[in-house]
Formats: sequence, C-alpha cells, structure tokens
Amino acid sequence: MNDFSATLKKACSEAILAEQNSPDGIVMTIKADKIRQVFETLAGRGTSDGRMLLTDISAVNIEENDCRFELYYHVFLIDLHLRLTLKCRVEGDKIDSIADIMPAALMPEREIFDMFGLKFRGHGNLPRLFMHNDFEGHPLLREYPLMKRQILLEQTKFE
Amino acid sequence: MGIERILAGKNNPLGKLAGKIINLARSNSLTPYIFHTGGSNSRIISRLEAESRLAELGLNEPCFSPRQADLLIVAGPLNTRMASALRFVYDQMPEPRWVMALGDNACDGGIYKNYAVVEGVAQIIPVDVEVRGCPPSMEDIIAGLERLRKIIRERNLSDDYPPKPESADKK
Amino acid sequence: MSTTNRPRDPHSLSDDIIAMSIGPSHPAMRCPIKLNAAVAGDHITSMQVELGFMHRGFEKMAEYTPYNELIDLVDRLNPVNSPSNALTFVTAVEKLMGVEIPERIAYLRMVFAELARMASHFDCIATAAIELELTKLKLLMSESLNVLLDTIETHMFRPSFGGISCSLDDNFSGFIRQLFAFVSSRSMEGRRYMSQGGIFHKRLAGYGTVTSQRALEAGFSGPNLRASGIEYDLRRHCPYWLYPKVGFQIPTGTNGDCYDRYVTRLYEIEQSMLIIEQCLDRMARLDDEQVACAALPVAVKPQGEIYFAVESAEGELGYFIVGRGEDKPYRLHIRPPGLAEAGALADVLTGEQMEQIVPLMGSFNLSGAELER
Repeated sequence: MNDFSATLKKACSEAILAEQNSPDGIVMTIKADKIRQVFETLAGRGTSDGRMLLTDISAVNIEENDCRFELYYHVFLIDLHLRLTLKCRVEGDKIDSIADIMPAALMPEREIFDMFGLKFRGHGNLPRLFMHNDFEGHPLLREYPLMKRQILLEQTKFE
Repeated sequence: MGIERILAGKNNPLGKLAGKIINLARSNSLTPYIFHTGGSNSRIISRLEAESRLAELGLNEPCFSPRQADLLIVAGPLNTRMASALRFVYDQMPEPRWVMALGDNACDGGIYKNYAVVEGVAQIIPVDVEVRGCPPSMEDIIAGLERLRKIIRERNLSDDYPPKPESADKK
Repeated sequence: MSTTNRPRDPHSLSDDIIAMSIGPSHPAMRCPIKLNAAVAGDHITSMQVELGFMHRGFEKMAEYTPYNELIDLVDRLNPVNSPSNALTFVTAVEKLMGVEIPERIAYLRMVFAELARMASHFDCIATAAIELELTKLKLLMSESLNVLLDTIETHMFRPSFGGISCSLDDNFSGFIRQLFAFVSSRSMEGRRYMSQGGIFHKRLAGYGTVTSQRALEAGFSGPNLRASGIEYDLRRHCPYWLYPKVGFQIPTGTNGDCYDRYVTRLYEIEQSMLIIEQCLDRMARLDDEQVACAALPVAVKPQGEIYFAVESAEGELGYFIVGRGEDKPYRLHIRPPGLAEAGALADVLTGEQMEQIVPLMGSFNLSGAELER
C-alpha cells in the first residue's frame, strides 16, 4: 500500500492534495482538473501488476459557495487488493471525461449528467440515460422537488 | 359476421341469453398479456403457469403480442417513460379488452411517491380491476381475477356495440 | 424500410436493413429495456440500448426516508436476490458508524446471502432453458429456485442494524441438509445437460465472447468477469463479514462466451453450498453466551461517507452513503451490478443473430430494477 501511494504521489505530485487511509484502502483527494493525468498514470501501469477496475463514479450535490459537486471515483486495484477512492471537488459544472482511458466510465458519467447536470468534456455523446429527452431539469439536485413529475406523453418512436 | 350486433340490438330474452353465453365464454378464456415493469410481481403469473392452475382461473396461456390479448396485466410501478409504451401497447389491443393493475405500485404509485413513478396506471389507461398488496399474495390475485370475471359476466352485449349516430351509413 | 421488388437471391442474407425496436415491453426479456437494432436478414448490424424504463427515483426518495425504513425499501430493488440489497445496506451503515457485529450474526448473514446467490443463479439458468426450450433443464432449475425462495421467505429473514431477525428453529441445520440434497441432485443433473456436446453447449458456445481485457476495461464484475478468465471475487479480495474463515474456490471460465457465463454460475452454486455448510458448522461450535445483537448507539445517525461493496450474485453491488448526522442519508448511491454490462451490451450483440439476443442478454443477468434504481 505504501509503495503504491508513494509511486503515485511521485508521478502526479501536483494533482494530489491529501491522502488518508480507509478500512479497505486509500482515499486520495485530487484536483478536479488533473483527473485525466491521474488516470493516465494509473492505466499506464501495465497488465502484469497494474490491473484495475473502475467500479463506479459517485456524485454528491453539496451546497457550498465555491463548488456544487463532489465526485468520488472508486477504483479497485486487483493485483494489490487495494481499494482506491479518488475524491475531487468540482467548481462550475464541467469536468474532463475519462471515458477514453477507461470505458467503464461511460455509463456512470452519463448517469451523473442525467441526474445532476454535470457535463463531462470529451465524452463524445452525452445523452440522458434514465430520464426521457424532454425532461427538464436534473432530478438528483437538492433543489429539484421530489414530487415534480414530467410524464412522457408522446408515443415512443420505433425507428 | 354481424350476428352479435343484431342480437345486441334486440332487447328480448334471446338477445339477453346470447349476451350471457358470450360473456361467460369470454370470462373463462381470457388471454393475458403481462406487462413487465421490473417489479416483483412478474413471477407470480409464471408460477401459476408452472403449477398448471391457469385453466381453473379462466386464463389461457399468456400470449406474446397485445394484438392477441384481451387482458392486460400491469405488474409493478410504472415509470414516466414506460407510460408511453404502456399506452402504445394498450392501443394495440382489440376490443373487448380489460386491464388489471397488480400491486400497490401499479394502483396508485404505492411506496414510490416521487418524480419518476406515475401515480397509478389509471392515469394512463382505464383500469377494470385493482389488486392491492405489496406484493399481493396469491390469494389476492386469484380474488382479483374472480372480481374481473364477475365484471365480465355481468356485462351487456350491447356495451360492445354502442348505438350508431344517425348520419352514419347503414349496412 | 426498403421496398424493392427485385427477386431475392435465396442464398444471400437479405441486404435490406430494417430498423427494429425490441422492447421495452417484451415478454421474453427479463426486464424492460429497449434495443434499437438495425437488422439485415436476421443479423444485427448495429444496435443502441435505451435504458430508463425501470427508473424509480429511489436515490432521491432515500434522501427523505429514515434509515430504518430504508431497509425495507431496499429489498424491492431486486426481486430474486433481495437479501443482498438489505444486507449490504445494513452492513454499510454499520461500518460508517463503526459498529462491530458478533460472529453469529455474521455467519447468519453469510448463510442468507449465499442462499440468495443460489436462487439468483438458478433463475438465470432457468430463463435460458426456457428460451432454448430445454424443458427438463428448466424444470430442474425452477424447482430448485422455488424451494430456495420458499426457504428464505418462510424463515422471515430481515436484517437490522447490528443484527438480523429470522425465525430459525433448532433443526435449521438438518433442514438445510435436506434442502441441499434436493438442490445438489438437481444441479448435478443440470451439469449433465449443460455439458460439452449437448444442445446447451452447441447453441451458446462461441457467441457473445468478451475478452478478459475488454471485460476489465468495461467495468464488468461478478460471474461475467470471472467467465472471461479474471479471478476477482470480493469475498476473497476485499472480504467482509467472516468470509476469510471459510474456504471456497472461485470458478473462472476460459473463453468469456455466453456458455462460460452460465457454467460459471452453475459451479458457483456448488461453492455456495459449501460455504453455507461451513458457516453452519462454525455457528454450532460457537459459545452459547454469544451476543444476539450488537450494541448500537441510541439513534442511527451516521456521519461521514463510505463505499461498501459486496459480491452479489450479479456482480459487485456497492452502496455509497454520505451521512451528515441526521436520521436520513444526505446521499445514497447504489452501484448496480449490471450497468457496465448494459453499456457493453450493444457491442456484444452487434453481429449476432436475432435468435441469440435473449440467451445472450440473459447470460449477463442484468438485475431488474436495481439497474436503474
């Protein structure tokens, strides 16, 4: 665990802001605009001992003055049996997408865009995932009312 | 063939008897189309099928197209997006057709009181029988089917053939 | 749609490409999902997968629901494998609060989690058998499934924070042994039907192949990843409850095709039975003065954030909870086991025949409403 975090810190020293240990692994706080650099380093570690699985990206809508969202990237390093969580605070509503480095990010990023309105630059196609295209707003934001329904009335197209 | 229409128009014992027989036959040979919405109820009908109990409840084997069905069973909560698919399926069913809403979530949204679930199937299509329960037990479902069959048996044949307006062509 | 009148060459697959939409209300699919396919003859040339027909706004609703009520609501997300959701949620909150559960509780949770895993795998294979019209295999799997679901139901199992409540009588071990005699005879016979050279193998082997590199990149987990050859099981690599104390093997496949995914599940059923037997043995050897339930703080008001994942039958089921010291979570996010597979579905199904859609989709075992919460 210590070797790994030391190597990662050496490779992306300006990206990592803080680090703490959790029961299953490491939680690292990183800068939001350096997320691609961190993932390129992680992905470039080779397949002999660097296999990793991006299991999920979670977003939290925090209501603070300087940033609206906090993103958590949950990565499991298979050969080291280590769970790595990368935390970053997003200012504004855009962040770089990592979908070309890790295709496992395609669906979680679409879901976060659908539910929160956080756009991922460079994702390619960012359509809504769960809500229909005429839906206005983003449901999981704290300010979206719980009971505001928008029923899709037109017939679904079958082309 | 037109015989039903002629009998329906007649308000005599023959017409009424014909209506009773036809509706009795309909109530004992319902072809269900099960509209899965990802709820926990979809197994129940297949379990009835596995136990070979469909015939005693008046159901045929479930069909795979709404165009051949006369009973639409909506089992589970209805999404705001699935609502238009439900309307599309219901519009394809030929008359006479009946709808059964299975479970609390289908009847009025149930435990899902939020932006994503429609407050009951009745907002989209007309519902004939509601079966409550979360999930409904086998006895509730059988009782619901019995209620539906009673509704069918007590219909008038003339319900199927409303009187034509004066300006329509007579054939 | 093309409307040419020229005589068709009977030896060529038709080159007219038809746009076809499969679903969302389709009786043969396990869950409402819409596949927009472009079909030439009966081969799929391109496909798009549309989700969103099962979305129930669960995560938003959870922000308005107290933790105790959430245990019951979380069950509804996955009809066949419902114990896994409730158990994972309860354990995640306990970890956030820093509560240690007693050994007996941990073993009981493992028993029910493995029973649910067996039920889910039987259901998956039974659905494939229905589609391939292998009536005897379907019967074997369905009988086992029904018996397992009845067991979970009659024991009125419900996890709670710090404990578990279920009505077990003294003869639970004997009951489980009889159950396993019933179930293992059926899974052995099912093995025979699914062996190499049979119809199941000929129909499904070589289709829907996902290489191990692709599976890892796409974020697969669970039996889908293990069938592609990667030995990754959360029970071994990131253990929880008392899994380090029981011994079991992790079946992996070689080719990553549709057949391997089903066979991996069949072998996992046998490993689950082994785990349950070991748990029951260890429970019987525990001291009698074991605590029935952990000591909990007065109110469940966790503070902090946690991501806790278990190896559910469909894959890695993760719960991400952010608590701010209130009785309702600030954010509850569920990592569904099937979302990565649903994303890769379009690539896997392109080029396949229409008849293979349902078994291929079934081999991923997309888990019902959990996929979209």
